[in-house]
Amino acid sequence: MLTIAWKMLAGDRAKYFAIILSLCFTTLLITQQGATLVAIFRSTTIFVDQINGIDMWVTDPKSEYVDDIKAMDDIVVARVRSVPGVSWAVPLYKGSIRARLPDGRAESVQLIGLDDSTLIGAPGTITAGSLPDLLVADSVFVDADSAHGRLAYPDGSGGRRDLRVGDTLELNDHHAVVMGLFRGEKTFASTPVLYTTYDRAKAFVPSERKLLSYVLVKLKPDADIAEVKSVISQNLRLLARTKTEFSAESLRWYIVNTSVILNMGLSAVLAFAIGGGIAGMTFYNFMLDNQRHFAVLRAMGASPGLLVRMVMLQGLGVTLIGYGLGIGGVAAFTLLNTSSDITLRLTYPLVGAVAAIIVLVGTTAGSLGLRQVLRLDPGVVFK
Amino acid sequence: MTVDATAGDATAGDAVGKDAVLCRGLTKSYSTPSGSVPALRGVDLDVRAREILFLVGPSGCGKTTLISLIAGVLRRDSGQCLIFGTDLDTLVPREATSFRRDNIGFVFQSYNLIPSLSVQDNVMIPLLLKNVPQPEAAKEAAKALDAVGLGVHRDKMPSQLSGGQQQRVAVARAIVHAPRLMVCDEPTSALDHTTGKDVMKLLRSLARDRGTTLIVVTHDQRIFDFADRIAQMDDGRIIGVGTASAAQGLDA
Ligand SMILES: Nc1ncnc2c1ncn2[C@@H]1O[C@H](COP(=O)(O)OP(=O)(O)OP(=O)(O)O)[C@@H](O)[C@H]1O
Ligand SMILES: [Mg+2]
Repeated sequence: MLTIAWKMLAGDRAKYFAIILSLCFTTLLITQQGATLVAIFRSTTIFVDQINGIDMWVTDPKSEYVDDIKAMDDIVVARVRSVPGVSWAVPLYKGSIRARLPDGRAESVQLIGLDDSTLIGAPGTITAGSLPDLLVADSVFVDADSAHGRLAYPDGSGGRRDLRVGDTLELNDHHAVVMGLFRGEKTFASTPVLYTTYDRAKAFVPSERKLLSYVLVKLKPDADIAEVKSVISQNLRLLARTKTEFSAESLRWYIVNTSVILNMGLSAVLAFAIGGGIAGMTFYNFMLDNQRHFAVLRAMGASPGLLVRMVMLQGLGVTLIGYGLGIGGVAAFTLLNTSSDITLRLTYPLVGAVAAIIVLVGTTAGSLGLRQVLRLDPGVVFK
Repeated sequence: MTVDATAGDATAGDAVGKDAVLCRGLTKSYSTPSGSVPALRGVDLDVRAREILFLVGPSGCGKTTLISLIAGVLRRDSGQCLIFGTDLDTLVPREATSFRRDNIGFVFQSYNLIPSLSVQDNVMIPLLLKNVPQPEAAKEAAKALDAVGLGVHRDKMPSQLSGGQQQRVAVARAIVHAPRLMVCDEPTSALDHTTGKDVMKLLRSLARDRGTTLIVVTHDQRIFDFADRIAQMDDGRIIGVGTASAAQGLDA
């Protein structure tokens, strides 16, 4: 009879496709919105998350989140190093600077200066050159997306080509040479990102007294985190946060203080409500249209339990097909998508959450329809 | 009145003359927003095994209600109704359901075929409900379709058939699991005269061959001569039971 149940549904071509399509679109819509939201969330904290091998970020006490940079004096690094429990500490610079291309075009870029001796905080995926080249005189590493886009290089005949190793830029009238490219994840600001060493960053940046953005701290294995935090706060008047805390606080700041995330979240919720509503209603209508047939089956001796199983099979079947097509569509798009302007992050929790939502839609519509079917007086079959 | 609960077995047909259906003082009213509508006001009826009984009477007199009670798709308010000695209202729902599944075949005025299933799939349903394996059910369904002369159409969809053909498919579905009792509500009234007669002829010969008891609700005087007996209803009661020729004189 379960085969019959499936044929009943699939035999009704128009409705079958309508249900599958609406579930598929709902999946697409929710997943796309969700993936975009995840991508935005991630972009707000990616700078913190991507630096591995450290335990703490030390900043000015008034710095609320990762991009809220209140510069500190270089001497701070040495002071942090002397805090009990600290294994080592390195400086990190982050700031904006104007990059000028030979054709006179200027772009605002993000400049990151890494500790000269350790290069802690270096980008993970180098696509051209090798990391030690960062130590070469005037060296900068540029993110590959910008090398292809905003920082594309004049090709000498009026056109543009990708920026490549050996090209030169002017950073605040200072000569800089591209010694490498890296692939980085988009940050919230999504400006081009340049890496150099901490000392060279100081040379590029207009002379300001204080330039230190963060101190990155590695703790000794037996260090008491709370103790280190309180010493840094009491004695150095600085704020120390674990990596997780800093990441979470940055994300929270963006959620509270920018409307982008709120709006994205809202449209994700709307996508779910509308898509889910339509998909659910289409299935529910299918059930209502088939009420009479279910009643006939009941009269002929189908038990309520059998009808429940039939409807469950129908609901689960269309749900899984619709979901599979939808999620497959997004996955294919994500894989084929080369444009860095469309950012989707298809994470497993997201895929799972969407599955749960779609199954919820399917079962809700199914059980509402089922209630109608089971309530139906089999006597109507003679009407 | 004695009730024989072991009145034959389904395959061989029930022994002639025993009671297939026995109703005493059956009442049923429907509750509507404007109050309770009495549909049956005390029906007494005996249907003998293997007979073809027609139930006739003016519109609204309670014919459909009566066969719904007999077939166990509705519950009575009071009275008694035994089907092959079994009172469906005293069974637990699951038993009543399987009793219906095993013993009763249905033919409806509006055919009630499932439009998204092929003719053969429709006919297989009563067997699949009895957990007959698919291949065997398909074979039996093909046989039943051959018996109603529609073997060649088994892979078509119901909508590709004429009304008469659809009703014959419904007849095949009603007999495929060899029920002991078939209830038919106006099986010919959606069909033209000749087609209606063909369907009735088919029903009668199948019922005779298989020893099935047949209850047919109808308005259609032109098929009265297919009946062994005709029960005349009015206003929720049986007002007379007679032979076909006797009923010809009555206004149906
Ligand atoms: N579901 C229902 N709710 C309320 N009243 C009903 C319902 N079904 C039937 N009735 C009423 O019960 C009475 C008997 O109805 P029933 O359908 O049994 O008559 P019938 O003899 O089959 O009529 P017809 O020849 O028109 O089919 C009628 O008065 C009808 O209006
Ligand atoms: Mg009727």
